[in-house]
Amino acid sequence: MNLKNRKAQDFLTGKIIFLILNLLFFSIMFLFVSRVGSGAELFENKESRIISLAIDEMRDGTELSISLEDAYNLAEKNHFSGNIVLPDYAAGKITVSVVAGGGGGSYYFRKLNPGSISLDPTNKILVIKC
Amino acid sequence: MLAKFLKSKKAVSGDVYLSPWMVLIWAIIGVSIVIGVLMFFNFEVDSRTAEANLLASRVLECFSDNLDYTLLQSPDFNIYDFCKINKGAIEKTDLYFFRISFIELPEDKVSFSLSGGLSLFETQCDYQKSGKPEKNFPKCAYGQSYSTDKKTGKQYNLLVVAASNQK
Repeated sequence: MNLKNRKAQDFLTGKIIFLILNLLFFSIMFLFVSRVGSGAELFENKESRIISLAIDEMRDGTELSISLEDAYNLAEKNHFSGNIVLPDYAAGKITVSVVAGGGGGSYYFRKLNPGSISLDPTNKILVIKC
Repeated sequence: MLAKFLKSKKAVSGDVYLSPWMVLIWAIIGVSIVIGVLMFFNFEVDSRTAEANLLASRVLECFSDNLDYTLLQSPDFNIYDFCKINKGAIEKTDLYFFRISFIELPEDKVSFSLSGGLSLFETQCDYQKSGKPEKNFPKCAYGQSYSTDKKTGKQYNLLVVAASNQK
């Protein structure tokens, strides 16, 4: 009787562990595919590169406004409320994030003073002053 | 404990439902999905040529209208401040390189040069210039301009090479 119970218990434990591992595996796969498939990473890389190229191309004493409507919409869709554009003035790097844990970064070689890049969340635009 | 369990337990019916083979199957499925998805969505923003051209223009324009040869040779001279170039991005990322050479006319020989960034790129640019483009080498841009020293009135030929490898 005891042996039979033990066998049944082992069988059940094994099945449960198997199910948990399966769920874990497919959850990770689902998260990965949905993250890549949403295009967030692609968008972040593309947007950060566009901004850094624009910075490099700017003339001294000029001001540039870039529409970030798509970025805001994508961030809203992904329930992301952090900084969409994060400049690192010392390193010369622009990071764009539209999803939690994400962030595509791009370098620019032009020297910018701290505070030269500002976000206008109301109009969904990025303002760069050189 | 789990490893031991995975290794030893079999279902009552005799099926091996938790075994190293199962883990191997998961690994194969996982790797296949990752490779497939990355192949489908892989996209590289290649703006290296544009960046190299912009860097070359920036360095050249900085000196073509505002040349003071004596100032250039001063030990305190800082090309990054003078040309408003971010030193951090050039020196620390290994993504950029530039060199500007000042050739005094009419002697036509390089009298002075200033450079910044990863110097290996210069060799790689020279290699590609000979008609052998390499996918993983940086993209290079060249520029040339004439300038007159605002103090001495001497004429200089300015040659610039710039490279970017930001993929």
